[in-house]
Amino acid sequence: MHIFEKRAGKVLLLKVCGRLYSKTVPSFERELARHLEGGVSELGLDLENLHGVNSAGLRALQAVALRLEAAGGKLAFCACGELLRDTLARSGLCANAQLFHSLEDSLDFFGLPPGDGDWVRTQMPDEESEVTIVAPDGRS
Amino acid sequence: MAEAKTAALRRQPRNITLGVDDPVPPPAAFAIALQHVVAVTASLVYAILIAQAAGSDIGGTHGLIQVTVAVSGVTTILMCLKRGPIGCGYLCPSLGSPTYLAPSLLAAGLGGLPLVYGMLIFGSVIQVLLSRVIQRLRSLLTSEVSGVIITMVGVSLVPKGVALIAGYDEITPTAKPAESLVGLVTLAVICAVTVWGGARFRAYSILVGVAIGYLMALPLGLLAEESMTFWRAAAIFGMPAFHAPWNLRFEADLILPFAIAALVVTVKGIGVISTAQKINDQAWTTPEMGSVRGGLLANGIGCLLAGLAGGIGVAPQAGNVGLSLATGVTSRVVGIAVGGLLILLAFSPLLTAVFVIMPAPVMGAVLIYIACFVIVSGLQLVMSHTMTTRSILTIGVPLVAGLSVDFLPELYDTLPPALDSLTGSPLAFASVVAVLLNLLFRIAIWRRAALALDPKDRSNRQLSAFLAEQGAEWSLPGFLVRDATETVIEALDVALADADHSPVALELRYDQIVLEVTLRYRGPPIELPSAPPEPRALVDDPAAVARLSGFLIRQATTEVSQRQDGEENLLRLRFAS
Repeated sequence: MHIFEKRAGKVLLLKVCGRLYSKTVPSFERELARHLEGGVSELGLDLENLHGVNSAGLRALQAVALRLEAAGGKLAFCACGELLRDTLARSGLCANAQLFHSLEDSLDFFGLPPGDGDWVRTQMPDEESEVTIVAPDGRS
Repeated sequence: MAEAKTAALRRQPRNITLGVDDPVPPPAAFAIALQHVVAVTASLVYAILIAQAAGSDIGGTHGLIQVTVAVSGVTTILMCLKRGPIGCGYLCPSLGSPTYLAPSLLAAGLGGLPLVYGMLIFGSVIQVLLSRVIQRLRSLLTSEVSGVIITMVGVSLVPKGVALIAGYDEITPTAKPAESLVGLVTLAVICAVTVWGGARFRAYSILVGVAIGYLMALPLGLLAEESMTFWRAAAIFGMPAFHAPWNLRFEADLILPFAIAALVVTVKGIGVISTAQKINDQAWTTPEMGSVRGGLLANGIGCLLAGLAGGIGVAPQAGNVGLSLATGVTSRVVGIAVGGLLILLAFSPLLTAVFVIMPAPVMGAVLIYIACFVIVSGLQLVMSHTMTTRSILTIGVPLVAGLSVDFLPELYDTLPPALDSLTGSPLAFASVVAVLLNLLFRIAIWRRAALALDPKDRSNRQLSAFLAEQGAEWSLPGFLVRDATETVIEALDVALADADHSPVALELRYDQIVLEVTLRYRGPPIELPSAPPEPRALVDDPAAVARLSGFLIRQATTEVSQRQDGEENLLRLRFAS
């Protein structure tokens, strides 16, 4: 899993790439805890390149949602895959998260100007353990 | 904020501006519904032909049309219903069906309209029964079969549409200049408004084209004086001439033709309802059978009403579903407006007459425009899966069989009249051949593969590579491999939570429709709840995460079961392609 981050005051935007499952969740949680403890109260997750989430990943997202809800913060999921959108709708998880078609669509929600700042890549300890699911049509 | 959430959750394709659940302002709903009504007037030709075969006069013919329009309105509203057992929940108008035409003509010739109505009631009972067992017929209705049927629905509109545009008939088998001019200009205007009219005007392309067609037809003499006199004499309001439901006839010789017609209406209905689902859902892969079952039941009830009240057989119209794709408006509200307009129309002889006198080339232009969208929609469906030799033949042979009816109709003239329902229509013939071939090709279709997962490697690489490899070898659809891989990883996570180094045996079976994955591992069964755990419990309770896992597995599979074999558990996951 790779994470790219961009911070503007109390707002943190993260691009999550790869898969969020049992093996990658611990480092994802550590990374988020670092930011939330550092004063972030508004979080936008760009999930366009998130290729899969399992129950452990959903638990991690739910934990973030609850933490931000308790802090009176904001949470946005951007460019969610079809499966994740359906799963969230059916399970009632992350009910306080707003869904947007793209990260750009969510900037207004956070009161941010469009296209400001550069993305910084966060080094994750489990990058090598990533599993790529390759379908017969060549897409992963 | 809630709006943003709703918009994001929908799986609406970009070319659909107002989706199935969207509200539509009343003026727009009326204008779009009017187009659907205009588009269906071509199907009133079937009622005219049946009335003529039964020897009815112009009043009787008009009565048959009015009742057919009323029944179509009621059935269209029933089709829109989303809750309860009746209705498919989509804009899917159900109107006069060409499939019932051949047996109805036979019945009209043998015993007049009472025999048509009686046998239609028989056909409707078959339809209702088929709608109840359709889930068990899932293996008959692959995307190849549905795609062939939808393609042939479009193709079957072509001869009628082209003949109407050109003014071609059996008496004068040449193209007539005035008719051809009106038909081609109407078609050109409809196409031009669709292509260059933008999102705002695209929805009204047929209305614009038809209006121009009428305006051209008047000075060119294509609206006959007889038609104008009939229209002028019609009353603004009047009850449709409902048939007495006790005046019915039945004939044993007609059981087979009507049973075949009912089967074809059902198969075609599945294709049309599937198309309505598909155009509303970008991620559509297989028909949602609850909606299909409800739609077929609604249509069966519609045919029953038609038989009792004195109308012709109705069926979901691919043309109207194609029209909703063309206009970009698939809202259920429009479906209810179409039903309401049809009922209103049935009670106004003057308005019905407007449509009854529509110039033939204008009708033809509308038919051809609709046929274009239906044919391409069917072709997209048949090509949505990776081709195997089986699927190529399941698609190709029925298309050839169906087209042969149009190319060489005399070839089938020597067959018994009871088979006319089958071989008299390219659509019926192609549909039945597709279903039969699909059944035949299921012989010796199961393919198997097995893998022993390395107990020391829990990275899932081995599993992922194995499923990808088998997927490529068996030409599995991409989504099926992804869903199966994700779900098996999820299942292994929860199954091996307390036994990380237990050996796991994995077996795959695939029959072109269902992918079955069986996992054998040492450990207890996993919990597979049908409801998710309380979201707040997830964070602190590990058992809640396991329950979420089981819930996700149940949601991702079409069927899941497990049984204990000594210390081992056998978990069977089934995925439909």
